Amino acid sequence: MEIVLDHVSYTYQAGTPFAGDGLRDVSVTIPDGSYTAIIGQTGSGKSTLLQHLNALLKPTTGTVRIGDREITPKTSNKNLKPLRAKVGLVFQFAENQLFEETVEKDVAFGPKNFGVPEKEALARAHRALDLVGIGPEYYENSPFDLSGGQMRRVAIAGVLAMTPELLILDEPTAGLDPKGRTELMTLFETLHREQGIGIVLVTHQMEDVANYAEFVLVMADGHLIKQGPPAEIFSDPAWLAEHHLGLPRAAQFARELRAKGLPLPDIPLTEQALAAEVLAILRPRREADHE
Amino acid sequence: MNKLMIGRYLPGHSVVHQMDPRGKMVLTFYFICIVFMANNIWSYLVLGLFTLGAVLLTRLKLIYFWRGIQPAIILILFTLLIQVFFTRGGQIYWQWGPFALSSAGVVNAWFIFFRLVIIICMSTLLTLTTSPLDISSALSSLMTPLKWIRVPVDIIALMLSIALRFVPTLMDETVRIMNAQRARGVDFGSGSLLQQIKAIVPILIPLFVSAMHHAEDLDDAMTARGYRTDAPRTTYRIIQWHRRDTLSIIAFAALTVVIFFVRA
Ligand SMILES: Nc1ncnc2c1ncn2[C@@H]1O[C@H](COP(=O)(O)OP(=O)(O)OP(=O)(O)O)[C@@H](O)[C@H]1O
Ligand SMILES: [Mg+2]
Repeated sequence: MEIVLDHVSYTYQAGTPFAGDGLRDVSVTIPDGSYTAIIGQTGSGKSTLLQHLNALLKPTTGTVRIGDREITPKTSNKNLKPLRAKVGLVFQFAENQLFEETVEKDVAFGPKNFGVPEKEALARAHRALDLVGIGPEYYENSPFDLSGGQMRRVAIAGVLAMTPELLILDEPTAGLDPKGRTELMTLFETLHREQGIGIVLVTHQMEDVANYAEFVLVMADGHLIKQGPPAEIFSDPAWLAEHHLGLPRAAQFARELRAKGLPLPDIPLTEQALAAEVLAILRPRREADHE
Repeated sequence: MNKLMIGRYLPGHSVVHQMDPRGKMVLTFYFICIVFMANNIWSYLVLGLFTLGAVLLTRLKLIYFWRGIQPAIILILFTLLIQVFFTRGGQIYWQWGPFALSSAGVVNAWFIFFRLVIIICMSTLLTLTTSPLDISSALSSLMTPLKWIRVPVDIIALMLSIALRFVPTLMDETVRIMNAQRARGVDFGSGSLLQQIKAIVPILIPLFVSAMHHAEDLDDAMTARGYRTDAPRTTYRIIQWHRRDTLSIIAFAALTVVIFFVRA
């Protein structure tokens, strides 16, 4: 499902002295089945943008096209449900939305709202919980007895159980331990690769952008200031620093190696690419030493 | 929800903003009492002009006062209808069973209408120009005499200011939780009454949990910084009485005198 934003602006609390711009004249196309990352400083409008992708917010001016639905400032709040079944949104600090008595019931809540029968919804819940690594021993527990990280996983499962075509993730791994982080990021990557689910990921982790994203949007102060593949976005460290963004660790390391005189041909973005380049240089040297 | 102006504070630098919050609160209360003494067109006219003057002094856009009145409009209209149809006296224009349209009824309805609008305007003025923090320090200052009978005034004031402080936070949180549940397919404001009541549960529980978290965090933060309930308190912001506050009391005294002269 393709999403097209056409000159979208959004003003929070329009008509009061507290009015503030969330988005300013954003035009962008998110292709069907792509893996898109959104980066930008805090308060740059990333979360606001995400909420336009499943019509939780309607533009103040401009239009959003989600699949074949047009969302304009005048669109009524009715009949948006089918759309929300297709576009799953995992909020920032998603663990705050849990409310049911048991973990499995909470995960089954979404599918049930979209008309899936109770039994099937529970089955889906179990599958989703399995995906995020919450074992059957937790199914009957209260979600409030879990740790913060487990709660986050349950909340993510709650959206996965809706089997959306497009999965929107607002900093899904913020505050998780490194292992949990990698596990979840790998899960999203697998869903994307094996089931063709489109992913939109907001993150402050440049490594995630380099490792997984096919396309990057950079937000600043409500504007979309740059878009392109990761290699292009990370090609200008000065520009990134100016917008309070950084390089992925591997790229940073490669730049420092270069400064020390190691002749790396180009700046790698991932650890694998970096390792390959360094090896390509060191191996011939070692062989020369041996002779 | 965001357009609701009741209880909203709009920062500004007008004379009214700078008044002593204690004076403002007492005078607003006093004004409401005065309004009930008005009983003819002249007294209402004086009150109306006085209110208008006060509103203009705040230098806020009139639309914000209108937003304050707006939610009460239904209530006002309802009281009006009751007044119009159930008051008898003077000339009767129209009658049907217990309902009657009389001249006394119409006059009475007008008076009540004015009274409500004036009262709402003045209380909106108080909340629009006084920060919640000022309101709570004013209350604690006004309640000081109660310390003599061992009322924990400081604690009450602190509770009040914390409660006021968290209103916007919890409002934002409500919106966020509602959106998260909408994303999971909850339809607010549609379906049968039972369905709508059921739709509240997924908001209420997370909201309650988060309020508890806020409370616990705040408790920890305050304890960590050495807050003790049994220690005497000082305040960082000291409210001071200025000449403008004395002047405003004089203005209200003058108003009282005028009302006494013009009322029937
Ligand atoms: N409910 C709201 N009312 C008023 N202004 C808001 C509201 N929510 C966000 N804003 C403003 O809109 C702008 C964009 O906020 P947004 O939440 O989209 O930022 P973000 O990029 O997601 O930041 P973060 O990385 O911290 O999550 C900010 O300037 C913020 O102050
Ligand atoms: Mg955000």
